[in-house]
Amino acid sequence: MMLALGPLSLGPLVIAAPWGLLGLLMVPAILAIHWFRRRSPPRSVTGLFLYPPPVPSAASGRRRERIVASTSLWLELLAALALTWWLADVHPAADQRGRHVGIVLDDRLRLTARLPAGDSAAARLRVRLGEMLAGLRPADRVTLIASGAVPRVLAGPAATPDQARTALARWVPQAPWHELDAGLALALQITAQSGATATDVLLASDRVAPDLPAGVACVAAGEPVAASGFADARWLRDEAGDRLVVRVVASGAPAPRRIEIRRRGHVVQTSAPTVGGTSIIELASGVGDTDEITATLVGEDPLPADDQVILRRPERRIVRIALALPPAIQPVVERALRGLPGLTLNGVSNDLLITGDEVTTPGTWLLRIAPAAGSDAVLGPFLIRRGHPLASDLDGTGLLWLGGLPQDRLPVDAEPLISAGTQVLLAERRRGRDRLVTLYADPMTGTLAQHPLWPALIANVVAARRAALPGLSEPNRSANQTTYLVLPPTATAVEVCPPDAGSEGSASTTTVFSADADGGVLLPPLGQAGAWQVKLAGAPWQTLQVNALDERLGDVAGAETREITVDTPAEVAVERRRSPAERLIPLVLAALAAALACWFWARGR
Amino acid sequence: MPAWDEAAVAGAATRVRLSVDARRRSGQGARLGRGSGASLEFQDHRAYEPGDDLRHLDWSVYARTDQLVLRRHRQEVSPRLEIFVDESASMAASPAKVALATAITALIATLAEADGVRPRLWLYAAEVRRIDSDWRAALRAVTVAGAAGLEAPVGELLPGAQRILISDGLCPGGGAAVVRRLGAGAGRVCLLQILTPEELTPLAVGAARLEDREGGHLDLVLDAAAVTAYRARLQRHQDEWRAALAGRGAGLVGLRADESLAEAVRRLIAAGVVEHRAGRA
Repeated sequence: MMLALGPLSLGPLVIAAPWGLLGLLMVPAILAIHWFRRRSPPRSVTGLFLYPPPVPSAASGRRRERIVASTSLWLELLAALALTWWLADVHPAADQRGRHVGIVLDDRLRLTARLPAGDSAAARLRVRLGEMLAGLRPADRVTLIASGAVPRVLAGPAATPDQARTALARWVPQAPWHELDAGLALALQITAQSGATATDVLLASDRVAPDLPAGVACVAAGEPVAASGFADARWLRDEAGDRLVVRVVASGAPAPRRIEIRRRGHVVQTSAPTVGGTSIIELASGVGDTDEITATLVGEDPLPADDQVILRRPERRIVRIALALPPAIQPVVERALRGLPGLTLNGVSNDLLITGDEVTTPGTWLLRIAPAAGSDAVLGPFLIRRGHPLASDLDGTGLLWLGGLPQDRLPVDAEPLISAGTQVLLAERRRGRDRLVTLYADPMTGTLAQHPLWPALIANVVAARRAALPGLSEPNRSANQTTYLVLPPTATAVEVCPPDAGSEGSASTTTVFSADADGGVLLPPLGQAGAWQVKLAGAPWQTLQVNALDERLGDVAGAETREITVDTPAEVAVERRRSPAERLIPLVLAALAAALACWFWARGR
Repeated sequence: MPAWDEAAVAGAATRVRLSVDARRRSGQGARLGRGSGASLEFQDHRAYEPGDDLRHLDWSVYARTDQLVLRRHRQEVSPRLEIFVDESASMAASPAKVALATAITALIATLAEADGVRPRLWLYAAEVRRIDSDWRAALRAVTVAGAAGLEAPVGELLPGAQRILISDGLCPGGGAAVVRRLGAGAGRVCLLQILTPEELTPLAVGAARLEDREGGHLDLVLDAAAVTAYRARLQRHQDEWRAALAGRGAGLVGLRADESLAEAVRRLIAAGVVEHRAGRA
């Protein structure tokens, strides 16, 4: 295994790659070749008798022969030394020390807000940071990070100031609302790896962050302006029909703005003007009978990024339920189901079967009502598994329960959800993605059928089954929200493609997520607005519309221009980057010397 | 040997002719010699000495002055020419060296024919061959190879002939022995020494094994000091040739292999080996 050697310091010089010194082995090799050549190369002449006889040498003892210092020899040695210089990267020690500055650029869209002077906070930051980078020495290093839920390294780690300036010139804020913590943490981590202190990290934003870590410098280049934009938008579908609910937040001076609803490019509805502050507006007319709606805030606004949302029509997730119960129990169950939305009752179930028998149908959940014989009535206290979807919001106060199962008779793979004393009242068993929920109770005796726990329990089962149906739980999400989706039973992984997948400079990349045991996938905040494609086995399956929605995103009124500086940090050891000239000069010198050496050698022959 | 440039040789032959020292010649010929002879062209008078041919007495002078005065006429000579061409391996040091040697040989032979003389060609390397017939064919057929033959014995030489040796003259024994052998009974003897630039000044290439084209080798550090020593030794070698050739005519005429035929002819004119034709100077 190759022994790793770090840079070697020799006073004012540093040898970046000590292994390159092996190139010096070329020197004795060249001398040996010349020494050998001086004895062997034949040369055809005439009049050999005219040449002087060689200088006589000692007949015994050490015999020392001189190597002729020909031009070719000197040039070959020069080529070898130049090549060694290139391999070992010998350079002044001053090139090995410098500052390592981590710059975190606030990548939130609000930095693109148009300021009274016609520019933006981002443009001012590009100028200000460009000046700062121009003041750095070539040996200094810069790590340029764009903030985000997942920060992006725009230059570096430990790029040269010129590289950072090039990346900075291309930077345009593009991220929805997010916290800056991840970007700052990354900058601190990267600079700390090179030995720099926290004082080498600089945050560039439109205002000084209130929770700025100690020792982190800040450049704020914003200016307060009044703005308004969407803070939230939802497409609701329920028994009352389709409607949009949007929330508009204005910061600074209120500006009257109207909302236009467009369907397939045509305006179908216009709202009354907003009055400033926070406005919640519900729009129902013209919604429906389409898959996509565009809501736009009309009116003068310095920040257009949050003035438009696109909403996709959510699917109605109907739970198909079949009942196979004794005639005495069925009405009680039907009464509990009657008030629940989003379900159908039929005899051939695909989603949920409520029965008294234990049957197994792949793809179907089973709610089995099976009172245990001979058990005692229980009044409580009831131990309810809080946090479990099936036991959510259940309260057994005042409930008389009959039919509970003694705990020792519970199947080993069953998980008790409600129990009282030694009796299990509700238990769940998993069979792949299917679940078998067993209610050990007799609804006709005791007070269960009349107790509020009964419809709540049935509603929980239906809601859990609905949540487990394949598809997106919500097709419209904010960029900083997670998304839960369930894959079809045959799928185990899903491919999530960003809106600009395949285009050059895409901020996001296509990612494959694997499903958990229930077939569910929890997508992290996607961070980029647009229509994300969800694919199964390479084929489009669902579309997830992501909008840059957050009331803080449009808050430009709090912007300011201020700088928080810290003491100039000490220099640290930085990784040296050879400039093109430093790369080329030794190589060109070596090549030139080698070519001239060949020419002189050929000429000599 | 490669073919020489016939056109260049023919062109040079129209401008020059061989120089002839009639004092060292004998026999009747088509050219007027520098000595007295039996031609119709009057040369001068001299006092009669016993034994002189009475047929040459100028009776008109005797009638006027009562003095016996001999009338002398220019001698008519027929020059004899022998050309010795070195075809040893050393002459192949460079193509230009071979080419110039061939061209000079052809030029001199052509000039001899123009003077009505059939040139006799001697080619020698390890052994010596005499060419009496078609010297052109013989010159084209030879190949440079073998050891130097300057010191090899030659056959019967023409008495009183002018002898021209075309060679690099790099014989370890020096030029004295060669000149003694070739100069016996000769009219004139000269050496046209053709050397390449590197034979004049070797390159300081450092350590090398020097392999002589005609045999032998030497391991030597060929540096500036060795080059200086070489040049001094070459100078001494050429001085030996010059000393041996002293009083025998043009002596040693140095020619550079990288020069043109025209430049070589100018050197031959300067050395007196050839001369401008009348009206061509």
